[in-house]
Amino acid sequence: MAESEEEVDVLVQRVVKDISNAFKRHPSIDEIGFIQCPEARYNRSPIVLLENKLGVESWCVKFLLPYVHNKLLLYRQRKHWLDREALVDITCTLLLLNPDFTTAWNVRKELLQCGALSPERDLYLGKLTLTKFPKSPETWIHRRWVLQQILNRFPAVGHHKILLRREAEVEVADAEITQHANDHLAQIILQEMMVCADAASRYPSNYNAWSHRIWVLRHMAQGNSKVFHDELSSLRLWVSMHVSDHSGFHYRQFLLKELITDLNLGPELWSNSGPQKQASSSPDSSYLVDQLFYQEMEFCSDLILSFPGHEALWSHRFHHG
Amino acid sequence: MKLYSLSVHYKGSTKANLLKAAYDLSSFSFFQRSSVQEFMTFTSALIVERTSQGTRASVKEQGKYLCHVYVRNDNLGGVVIADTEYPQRVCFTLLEKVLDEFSRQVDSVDWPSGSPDTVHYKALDIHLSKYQNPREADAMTKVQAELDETKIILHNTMESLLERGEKLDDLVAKSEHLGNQSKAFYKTPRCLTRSSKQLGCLTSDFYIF
Repeated sequence: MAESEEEVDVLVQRVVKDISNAFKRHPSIDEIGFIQCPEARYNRSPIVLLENKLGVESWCVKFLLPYVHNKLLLYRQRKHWLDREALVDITCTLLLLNPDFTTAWNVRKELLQCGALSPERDLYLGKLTLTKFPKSPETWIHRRWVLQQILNRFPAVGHHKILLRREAEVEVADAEITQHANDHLAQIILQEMMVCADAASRYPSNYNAWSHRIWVLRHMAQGNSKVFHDELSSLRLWVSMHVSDHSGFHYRQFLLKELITDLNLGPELWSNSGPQKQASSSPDSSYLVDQLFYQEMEFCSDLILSFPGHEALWSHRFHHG
Repeated sequence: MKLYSLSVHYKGSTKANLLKAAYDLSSFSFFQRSSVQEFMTFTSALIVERTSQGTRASVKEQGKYLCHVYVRNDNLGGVVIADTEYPQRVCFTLLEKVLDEFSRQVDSVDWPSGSPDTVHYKALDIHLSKYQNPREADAMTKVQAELDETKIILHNTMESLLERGEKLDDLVAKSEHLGNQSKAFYKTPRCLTRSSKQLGCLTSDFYIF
């Protein structure tokens, strides 16, 4: 049964609208998925919403994807005009089906920059596409771009870094702005940690998810050793339940390195034979470093005894040996 | 490290009879869960059918699932479907424990004709949940000692359980555990459809490629 171009046009527009409406009416949608459904059921939308999960019936994808893909390319080539709302809806539909379509993310960058889209919207869209495509490189790349936009809007972020080092010098007037910025930052960090953890659980050794996690801490939690300590302890259970996940253990190594650097031992002293102590470091910080090491070794050995035969565990232990 | 399903069957002379099952499908994509559950039931029953009395075996499926089975001499059989990280010996401890408890709570006269609706055994969900964390659930050292002498047969695929000439596709088509939709998914060469190619992997779950 061949559909006429007109019929496809009408169908696709309805589906794009259905998706857009679903998000407007149900802001707590937290997962997307495809429903294996070879044929359309009479007069029913292929967009299904169940328990906060948005499903797209597979029969419509062969019409939907090429159509919206083409529409966006025509827009880019200035052969077809689309208003902002249409662009938002079309790119959203496209990215839910194929989040590695860079052009769609780039159009959204432009919309963001001119204020037609909020950064939070794209973080939300990215979070959703990751539920279906947890590795999607373009989603993670765009996510970092959005986070950088958010960071750039923080006038107080610079102060935040200084606050940690020279508390006595911060003026009272700045303190309130800084506190608000700190809270917002902490919230963002928490959300990113959750998105990464979710994506890491959906795909084994999800390098893209773990690299993103590292990026977030490097750019948003520099010098904030509490965050690193919290991560180290909160991840114990996760890595215990994913003992062959190399990326998870690599992340723990990153956390340890940062904590040790923070305790004033230079990173250039990190060698295969373990960190050597700088002459100027205090006995307290050397003790803390030893503590960190000892705890990690114990943790690792314990896992090896419980779950023999996992290379990731031995590799992690070797890195510390 | 995950357990996906835990089921108890009666191994009849020609086919296995499902008595009770528990599932944890939270790690599967929401819209695939009902089909995944059906395929897990189908697989568990088939494995029990093709496993001899007094045997323990582990069957690998699609490279990332391990179906551990223990069929007792009295024809009571248990299957646990886990990922490849989950320690095998803990699965067999779990099976031993569940079958033992089940046989004490449900009279053997009810096994050949029982079904999940008629059988009164409520602990399966709790056991599945508790054993998600193997270190919390059991003393590992005790298990090690007990299982050292036990032989566990390893099958690399489901196909190795089948008779010569038997095809998994035929068994799928005939199965009463699978709904029409699940049977349709199994038959569709999804990797060849154009939209699948554009989308990359449409699904990657149990039997649904």
